[in-house]
Amino acid sequence: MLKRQEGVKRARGPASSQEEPGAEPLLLAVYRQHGQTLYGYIRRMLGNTADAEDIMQETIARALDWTRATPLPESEESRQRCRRWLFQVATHLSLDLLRKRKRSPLRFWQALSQPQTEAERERGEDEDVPLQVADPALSVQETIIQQALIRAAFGAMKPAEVSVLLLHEHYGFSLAEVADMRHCSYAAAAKKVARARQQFARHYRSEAGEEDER
Amino acid sequence: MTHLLQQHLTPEEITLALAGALPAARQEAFEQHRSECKRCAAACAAQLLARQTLAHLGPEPAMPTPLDSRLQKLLARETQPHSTSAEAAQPVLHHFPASEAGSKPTLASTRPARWVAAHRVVVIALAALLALALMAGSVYSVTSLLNQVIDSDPGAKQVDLEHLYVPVNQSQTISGFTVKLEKAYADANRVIVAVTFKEPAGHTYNNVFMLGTKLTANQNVTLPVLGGSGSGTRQAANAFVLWFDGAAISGAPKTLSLHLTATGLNVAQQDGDQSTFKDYTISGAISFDFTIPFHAGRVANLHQSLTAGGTTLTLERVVVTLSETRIYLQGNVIGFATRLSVGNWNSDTGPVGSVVVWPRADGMTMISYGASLFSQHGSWTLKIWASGATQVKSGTPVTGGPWTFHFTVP
Repeated sequence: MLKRQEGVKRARGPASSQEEPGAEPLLLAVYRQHGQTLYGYIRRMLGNTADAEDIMQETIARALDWTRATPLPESEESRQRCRRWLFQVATHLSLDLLRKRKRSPLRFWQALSQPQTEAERERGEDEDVPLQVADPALSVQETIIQQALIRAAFGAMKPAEVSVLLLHEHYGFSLAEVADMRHCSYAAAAKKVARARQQFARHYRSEAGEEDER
Repeated sequence: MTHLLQQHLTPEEITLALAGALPAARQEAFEQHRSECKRCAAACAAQLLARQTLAHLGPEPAMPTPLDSRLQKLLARETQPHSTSAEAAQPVLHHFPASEAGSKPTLASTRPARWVAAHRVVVIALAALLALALMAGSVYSVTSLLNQVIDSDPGAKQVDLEHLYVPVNQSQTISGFTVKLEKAYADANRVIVAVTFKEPAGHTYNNVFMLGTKLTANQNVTLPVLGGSGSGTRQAANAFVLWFDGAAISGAPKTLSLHLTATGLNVAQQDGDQSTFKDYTISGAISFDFTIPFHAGRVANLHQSLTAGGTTLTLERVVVTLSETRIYLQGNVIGFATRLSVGNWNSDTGPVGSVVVWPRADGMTMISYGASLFSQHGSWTLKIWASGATQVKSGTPVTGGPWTFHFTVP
């Protein structure tokens, strides 16, 4: 279950920020700022739109309860805390769903490891970028391949590892925040991130046909 | 701290070191040990791989617009000050067990029935750099699909909010598939084109997309594809937004004459179970010619050099447009950690869109923020950490830093 922060007054009414006339309610403001990203995270974790919609709704439902019970002053710190809380709950719900349904967690991403198709090969041939044009180091084809490898590596990892990796590496949560979200110590969070990175590298290299450097 | 020099680094120590979370002396010992120990250098490289490659994860999957609208309305209603009574404090949404198949949330859902078959099919077309959210059913019009795709990217969305997409409305039909170039926009960072596809009746299609897409601008300059996103239904239509590198355009022309071409269509068809799946190509030249305004954006040519920890970093240029914010540094480096801030916005809290650190063929490193910061004025601060960064050509770690640049963008 979710931990509520110790030392915070609990009330039945809405958060204090919601009582200030003219101020946008905290949860609504955080949703407007981070809702799309939160959904993207859930969608990436679950691999399909239907489940992602369910978990997104459940997360928001719980957030309504939480903000009613946990008054937070209007501040940047409160916004960050609220954002962290949303990702934390979404993580729990997503992992719980994946565990209970006992299915391949990231089948959508696993599918990306299919052999290259004729269509992909054809796209790869269209790599005629003149040298004088400012050009990212990664070509279109390389980017395509890299994205496929990333998703294939995620598909081979444990969902909890993918979650930690996404939260820290892609969504920018610090180790301290990951520790808070996963209810563990700072050192344990560092260990989880390290383990997730190692697993990612192992599967990524395996998918790419490279030797593991361990 | 000496044990770092005498023993191999643990994965946790490497994680902390790469996060810049070790005390300075330990960090120094870490760097020294890493440079001397092949095993630990390899362990670091494995951890860095995750950081560096996840920059290419692609755009966020877009939230279906109906769901977003419902949640926004619900939150607007349920977090208003009038709901302060004890009664109103009761949960408005009843929790539903997410793990129970078939359970229905009390929040009315208009999402289409689940589509779970043949994910592989989706992916094949997805390889064109698209993050494709597939939905079954036909409740989504082409317009709403396109809006959903545009809304998934902060920069593309801001262009829409400012009504700066220029309607093109050109279409071509190949073997019953109608490709329509709906609208486009161009600035010094991105040229965005929005394309929809309508499929012929009689079959069900998982996806349709153009092959060999190429965009050329004035003076026959080819603009590299940078990314895109898409959404679609299986029965009706697909909508895609592609963005190309506007930095390839020299000067600040008032308009751009653009030429979008493709060599054919990739079609993923599936009428029943997976055994009915077909993935095939329809050859046929697709060509659209159109002219749109060019928005030069705000450019700061800074040539600002800073030395920290013995290493000099040069901030060459900052280009702020409605669709994106780009920073150009001298040198080809991957793995920089950055924090950009201006006004009340910063890249830690966003909204930020995607953040990509890209070594470029012209010898510079481009840091791209997907957020639209065009309306931001005042003092900008860019902080760069070297931890984990490496030189592209030599593969050697970047040392020194952090570097903090302060500048303004006219």
